[in-house]
Amino acid sequence: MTTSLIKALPARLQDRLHSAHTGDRWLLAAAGVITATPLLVFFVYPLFVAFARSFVTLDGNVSLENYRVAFANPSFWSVTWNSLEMSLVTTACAMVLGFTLAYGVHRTRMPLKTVFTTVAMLPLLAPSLVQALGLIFLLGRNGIVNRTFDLGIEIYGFPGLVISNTLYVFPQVFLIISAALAVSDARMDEAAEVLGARRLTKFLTVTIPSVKFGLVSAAFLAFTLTITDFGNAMVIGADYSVLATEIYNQVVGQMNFNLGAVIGIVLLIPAAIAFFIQRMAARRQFAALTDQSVPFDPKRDTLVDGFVFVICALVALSIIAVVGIVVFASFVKLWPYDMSMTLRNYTIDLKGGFAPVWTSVKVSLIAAVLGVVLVVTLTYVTQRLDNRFTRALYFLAILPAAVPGMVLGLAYIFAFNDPDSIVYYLYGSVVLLAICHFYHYHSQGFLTATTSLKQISTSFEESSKCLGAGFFSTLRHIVLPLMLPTVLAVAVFFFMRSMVSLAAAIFLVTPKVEVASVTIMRLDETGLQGQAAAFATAVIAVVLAALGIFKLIMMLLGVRTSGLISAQK
Amino acid sequence: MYLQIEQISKNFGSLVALDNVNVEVEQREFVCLLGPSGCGKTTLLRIVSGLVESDQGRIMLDGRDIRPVPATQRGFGIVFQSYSLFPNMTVAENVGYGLRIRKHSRDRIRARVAELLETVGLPDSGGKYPHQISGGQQQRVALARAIAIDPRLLLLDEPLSALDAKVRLSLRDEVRSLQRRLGIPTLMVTHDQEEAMTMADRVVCMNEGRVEQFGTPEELYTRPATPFVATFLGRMNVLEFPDGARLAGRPLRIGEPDREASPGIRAYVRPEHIELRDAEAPTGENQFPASIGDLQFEGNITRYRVDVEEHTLQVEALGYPTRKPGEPVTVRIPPEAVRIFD
Repeated sequence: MTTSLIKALPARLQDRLHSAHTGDRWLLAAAGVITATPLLVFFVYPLFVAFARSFVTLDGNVSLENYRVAFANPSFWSVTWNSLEMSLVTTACAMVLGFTLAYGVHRTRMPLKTVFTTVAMLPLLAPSLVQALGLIFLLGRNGIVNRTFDLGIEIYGFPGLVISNTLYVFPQVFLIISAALAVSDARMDEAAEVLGARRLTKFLTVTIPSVKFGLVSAAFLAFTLTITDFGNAMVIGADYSVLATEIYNQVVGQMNFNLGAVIGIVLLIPAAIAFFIQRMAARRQFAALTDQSVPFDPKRDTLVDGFVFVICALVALSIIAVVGIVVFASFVKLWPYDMSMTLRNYTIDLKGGFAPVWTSVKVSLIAAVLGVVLVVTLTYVTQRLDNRFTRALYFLAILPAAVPGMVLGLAYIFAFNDPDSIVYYLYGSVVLLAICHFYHYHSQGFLTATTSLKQISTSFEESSKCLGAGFFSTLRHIVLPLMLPTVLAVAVFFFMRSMVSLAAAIFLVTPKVEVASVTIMRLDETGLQGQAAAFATAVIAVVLAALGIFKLIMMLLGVRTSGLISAQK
Repeated sequence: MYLQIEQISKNFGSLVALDNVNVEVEQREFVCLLGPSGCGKTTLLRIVSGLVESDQGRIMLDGRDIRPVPATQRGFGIVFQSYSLFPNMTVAENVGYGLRIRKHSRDRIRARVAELLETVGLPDSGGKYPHQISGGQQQRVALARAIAIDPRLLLLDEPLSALDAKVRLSLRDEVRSLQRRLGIPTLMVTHDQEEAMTMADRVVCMNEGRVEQFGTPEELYTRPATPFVATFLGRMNVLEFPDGARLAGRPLRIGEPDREASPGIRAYVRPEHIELRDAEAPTGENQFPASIGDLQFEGNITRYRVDVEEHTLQVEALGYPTRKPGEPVTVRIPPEAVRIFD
């Protein structure tokens, strides 16, 4: 039966089936299909449903009516304008500061470089709204500054949003520009110097152009992260309405899902543009690096070093102040009236107490385990099998970077909060939340694993094969041990991001299943800032603990932990 | 014949990597695949190893076509250029890996690993990790790992190319004598002609996916079958004669008589075959008036650049320099040393 089936196939295919190599290839292909299926079900399908829903009106007709209604509404345009204005200003600020720190680290001899880069990573450890929360404790109506000096600073709205979002996107902007500066060839700088270029000329004609793709990527990422951020906008935005809060109001406030879908699609546009520009930039940037590139050894220049140092110190102090005051406020009895220390805030008034933290931990653990298995398998398949199917799979695997968390969360409601849906039984469970987080951060995890696997020469696997080891033996003895540091880094990355993600979760929580970042927002909305701070501190503690365990494991394994920072982006 | 590579062809998309390649390896024989990068030599080695499939042709080992046998079951030893020792395993674990996969007992593996490390001259390095030993030592370990499984065929993919010149020379001799001692039929890829000439019993000279010539190093050097082989191996003067073979107005006689005058001819002469004489009125056959253009002192030999009217010849003479730039000389090109191709 099988033989006759094979005989019916074209000669080329027959040859392939009989060949010595098909065994491994079929296994890889099967692994590819197994990992592609959830990608289609939990990423492509919900987005498709959300897209379709934006064309369905309340009475069930298919038309452009939702778009017409949205575009005809003047408030839609003012909200869009607010979003654009705020995101552009934030991007500009974050770029200047991020570039200054990256330049300071790679091209000057300023002191305290390690301290600055460590502090720069702090905002990644907490939900985005922590920046806004901290800013309110500092500069809000009842903030320390206004209470002490009675300045009457009005932080809510535009200025607060710009500051908190700048701090929020700062680490990621810094990481991208820093990576670009690290790989750019110092010989060009030296050549410019030998040719007699002055520092400013050199800066403008050599340094900036050599990292232009990194700058473009960083700028677009900053813009996307800001325009799609939800947490800061909720906490400090006040009357300054932006697209992200507008989706939330339409869907949760007015139950107008279809209009929410329209705004979601609108929000998809800048993210998608940023995604493609980043792809192009990444491709060009790597071409600049050769194995003969020489690292840069900066010379002392008191004026420039001092100037860069002062700016970096100010940024670092701001970050420490904003995050630190949240931790401090969590121990204050009644901000700002009774500043005596207490642990009372840690007895949470909301129903469930600290349960959401444990739910978050559970969600994040599932996302980490599930994520690492799927992402590493997918990476292995796309790197070791080269055909049309795996190339398409690669593209699909990095596509989630083009979709804001809020849009993905909203798409999940459309797709899965429907008794007819194939996975309806998952709706409202921690598993679906975990899957949503995992696919939201899929691209970064996937790209980290891909970069790492690319560095593992195929000659290891080929040697193992020639020595008689089959597919699974090679995987067990060679590939997995070599990839272990990356596997752990990717798992920790998924865990950390899932712990602090708000936008993707906001639509998926139910009264039964609530996660920590959402609880912080609700506590803040209820006016329980002290408890919100306590909750945020607990989240930061969990993330730090995870990071500590990770570093400990890496130390025991004897691996340097350089992989984690690159896993952030 | 032990290994017979028959009519192997391989395309990568529109790129022809191998075009009807035939090579044989006898029992105990050391065969080198030699050619410039991109000539298909590595692809051929990978096809023999089973890591790459050929589009056409057969690979007969001991009379059996091994194409359907996967790489894992071919039982060949392979050594790559570099970076192929498993970094997560010690030297001893690397060497014993093939035996462990074959489920040999712990004691047997330990004994065999010790014996092999002794053979490659690293008896005390078993507990070290690959990054703790030098590049040359790593390649010895890789060799020990490859021969640990008593391979039916040893495949070496540019095993010495990443090493320092000195280490490369000493390892060259070691690999060769080890192969002689163990009598494992061996196929080695290299782009270094000196390596191929000194190590191999026979050399396959490849270019653009085809075999240009297959023979002993001496055959390839003294009787190149194609212009490619003639110029790829060793140094070679190529004289172009658009209007018939004449140098400085005098006819150049060529060993093969009826080839003398055809226009558009190209003549090939090795530098060591050309004689330099004191300047005299050239009277004898194939003697031409010339002058020394430049010279390079290379220790036991001296290389001269000699101008014969519009032609420039490389001439190699044993011993220290005896002539100065600008000095007039007479060169003699022995007719039997001149090669021409169709």
